[in-house]
Amino acid sequence: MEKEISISELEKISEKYNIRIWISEKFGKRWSYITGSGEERFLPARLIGEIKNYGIFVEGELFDREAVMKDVSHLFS
Amino acid sequence: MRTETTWVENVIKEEEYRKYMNGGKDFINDDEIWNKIEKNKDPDPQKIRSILQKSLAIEILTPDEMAALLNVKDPQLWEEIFKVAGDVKRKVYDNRIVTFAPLYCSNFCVNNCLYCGFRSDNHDEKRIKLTLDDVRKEVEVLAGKIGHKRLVVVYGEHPISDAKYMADTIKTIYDVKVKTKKGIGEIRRVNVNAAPMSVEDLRMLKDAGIGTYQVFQETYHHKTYSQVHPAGTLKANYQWRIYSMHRALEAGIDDVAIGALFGLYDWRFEVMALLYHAIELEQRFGIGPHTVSFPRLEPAQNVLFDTKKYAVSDENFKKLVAVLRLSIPYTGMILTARESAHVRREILPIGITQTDASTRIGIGAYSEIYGAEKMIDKKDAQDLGKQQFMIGDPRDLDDVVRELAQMGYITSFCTAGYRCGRTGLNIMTLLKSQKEGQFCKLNAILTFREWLDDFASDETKRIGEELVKKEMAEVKARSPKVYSPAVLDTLDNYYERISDGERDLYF
Repeated sequence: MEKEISISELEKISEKYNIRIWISEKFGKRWSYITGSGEERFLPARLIGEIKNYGIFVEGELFDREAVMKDVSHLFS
Repeated sequence: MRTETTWVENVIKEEEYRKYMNGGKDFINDDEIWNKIEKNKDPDPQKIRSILQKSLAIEILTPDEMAALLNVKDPQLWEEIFKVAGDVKRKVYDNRIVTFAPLYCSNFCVNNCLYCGFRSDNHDEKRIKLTLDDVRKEVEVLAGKIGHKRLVVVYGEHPISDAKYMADTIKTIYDVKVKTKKGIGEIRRVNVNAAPMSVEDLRMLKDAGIGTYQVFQETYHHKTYSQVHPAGTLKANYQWRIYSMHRALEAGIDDVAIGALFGLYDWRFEVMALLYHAIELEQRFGIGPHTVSFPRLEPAQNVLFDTKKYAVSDENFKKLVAVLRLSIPYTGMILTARESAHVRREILPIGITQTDASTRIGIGAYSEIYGAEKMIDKKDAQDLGKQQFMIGDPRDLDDVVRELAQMGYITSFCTAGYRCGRTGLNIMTLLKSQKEGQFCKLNAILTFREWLDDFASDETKRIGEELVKKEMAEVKARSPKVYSPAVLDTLDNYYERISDGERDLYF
């Protein structure tokens, strides 16, 4: 998974939407961190979507959730 | 019996640890540790002070630097060390203390460790394994009457408490929801203290949603390890145990915890070895220990070990905690109810991040004691025939929370991190950059509010309310430098909703 998702691609998404974004893998209640990018903002982590067993978490104020998900989904294809 | 023998024969997978060894050797070199302790005798106070500065920068120390700290003799310099240790803790974790409870699920054990009450030759021990229904009853008390949100579940090493049983108990625990005064009580994080396991078994625990996986090496000293863990038992294999965390990380469990049982061998050697263990994990996986534990050997039933030879005095205990805090500055450090209330008060300020309360280690003890219609005197509620050792501080969570508040610490029931991917490399980075403490502060306030409303006595609630006001003011004072206006707005919103009965809102 780590090899599949390019950090530089996540960096681009982070900068484009001014968010902190990271991908985690789900195991029961646990979301294990895989990789991510962006500055820490201490905002609540929002799970904006799931692709297979992976969750897309975002910290940010104003961003287009659907647009972010669309960009992220390209990374999984 | 034949089944047990077959099971034992199949537990250890040599290929799962040999690949990590160098030239057939593990990463603990006994002679090297003693040489470093010897080489760093009579350290220059200036050198010690520069080491303290390195710790304050949240950098892991080298074994030589730790050895120098261990060799300090000047009491005044030790006072400086204790102070900086406390400063380091506050820098990384703020003033919060996370609270948990142990839940012993089974005391069947195939091992025969000379110092342990669960040893197979102790025929006076009443062997009990909780059924899943028993587990549910225990959790109803822990989450519904006491108010815990985090458990460490403990199992003896035995085929009847294998990985499948552990996974089933974890799932059972997560399923329990209990109505409380204003909301719902539930366990949100289940950590596991169990025997070393194969990668395949560890994956089973991961799939069940394990929090932290904890295995203590007991003693890192090879010869002593062989002496106290009789040949022919599973636990006699030092390398199978010491590479437990390697296998856990390989299985994808990225919150791992290490520890040593102090009193089996020289305490200075053990703290040095814990540092070597942390360094090995960092170098190999980029992830150090999530927590370090340092239990002291306590009296137990029918043990065959001289507990006096390497007994750690209270004075040395304080030193070893401070040195560990300074040497692995990012790690969580757990002080348990093994220790007396007096010792806990003394040790807590020098770097502790987690502690337990309302602790019962007898199998099924929570529902027996707290579930009884008539309250049992908790001081008399320890049964050595059903527990591993004697605990030193049986006080209720309410008493401990109140005392912590009076000492200026906020009890945190936060379990947010592993439910939003703040695990492994992510949390390590946050800890080392001193950012995790900012999350800790916010989540401590929110979970403390929940607990005050659902479980606190009137007196504790009164003291707790004052502390919450102070904490809120501190958060506001950190804005906008640390917390943006959006963070403050969210905190206010969450706080209000929790006060109205909503639960489990977190940053």
